[in-house]
Amino acid sequence: MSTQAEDLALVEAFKRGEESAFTALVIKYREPVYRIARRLLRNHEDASDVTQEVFIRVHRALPRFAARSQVRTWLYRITVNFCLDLASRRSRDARTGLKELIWEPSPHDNPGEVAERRELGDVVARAIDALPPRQKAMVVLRVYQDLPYVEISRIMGCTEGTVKATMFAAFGRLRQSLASYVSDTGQRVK
Amino acid sequence: MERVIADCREAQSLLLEAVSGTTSPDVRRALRRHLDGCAACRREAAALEETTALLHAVPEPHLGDDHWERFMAGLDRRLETARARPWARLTRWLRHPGHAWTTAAAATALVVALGFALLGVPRPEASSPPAEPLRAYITQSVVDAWSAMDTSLAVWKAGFGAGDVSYDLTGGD
Repeated sequence: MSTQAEDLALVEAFKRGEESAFTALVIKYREPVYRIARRLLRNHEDASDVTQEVFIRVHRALPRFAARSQVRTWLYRITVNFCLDLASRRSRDARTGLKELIWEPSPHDNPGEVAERRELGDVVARAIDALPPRQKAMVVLRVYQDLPYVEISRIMGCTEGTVKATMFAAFGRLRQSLASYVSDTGQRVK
Repeated sequence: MERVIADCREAQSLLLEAVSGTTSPDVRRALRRHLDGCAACRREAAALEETTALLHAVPEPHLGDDHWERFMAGLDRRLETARARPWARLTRWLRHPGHAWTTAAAATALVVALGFALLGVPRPEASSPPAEPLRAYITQSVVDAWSAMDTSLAVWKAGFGAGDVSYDLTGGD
């Protein structure tokens, strides 16, 4: 059974009153939803709260889910919209600066590597964070979730052409921000 | 039929798609053929690959072992609170497929009751005096509004079946 068919079967089971079908959906999608939120919000607590809020909304809306899009697309759209709203409220609250790195070390990591990766993580996080919100969302969905352009266009509510153009602009900015880490020939210099 | 890349502009658009994530094998084959003969696009591909590699150089954050356990417990608590709300219980009960006939019967009864309320029950005569406890609330502004309410009620009644009211079922706008 394909992922899409499996998801729809879970939705139908939930509509019939099987609460365990919702739990199965949560277990399947909680991690990608969290990771999208984490990349977009750069903060574990916020990402965790958003993940929970997304599934509360999904639970409320699932009985009316009409399967016009894939369950995954619908879920990611809720997640991205929620994160963009939250990030926009936060920016209005004048919360500036990088408060938390995008990456946290595991207790088993070597301290030297940790410092190096922390620095690189900081640079990359700043570069991604400097992108306009929709560019950032598309980069996260493409690079970190490996979603096809057509699905990103459905999540973001735009055409595939817009996704291509936006990705092109986003990568142009990222290349500028990370220029000191990449040589003219594409070789890493640090 | 094999995909053919027309020019460097198209190649560079596809390159970004190819280096940033998964792409179809025919696009990859077409790109490889184009890159074999185009040094400028090869340089572009190398730079894009390097940028993507940098983005991937930062691993996914490490989550505590009990993170998802705590997450599920928190989600369950919030869902339980939401379920306990009377309105949520009612809508869940109504939506349950096993209650479809009961819901339909209840909806029909409600419509019939509304119909009776609007069409069948005579309104008290305007001249009859209001009950004693209500007298204090019948101010001049309420009396002034009475005729407008009468008109609204007449229109409302007409909409529920009067033969002399024309309806444009196609929308009209």
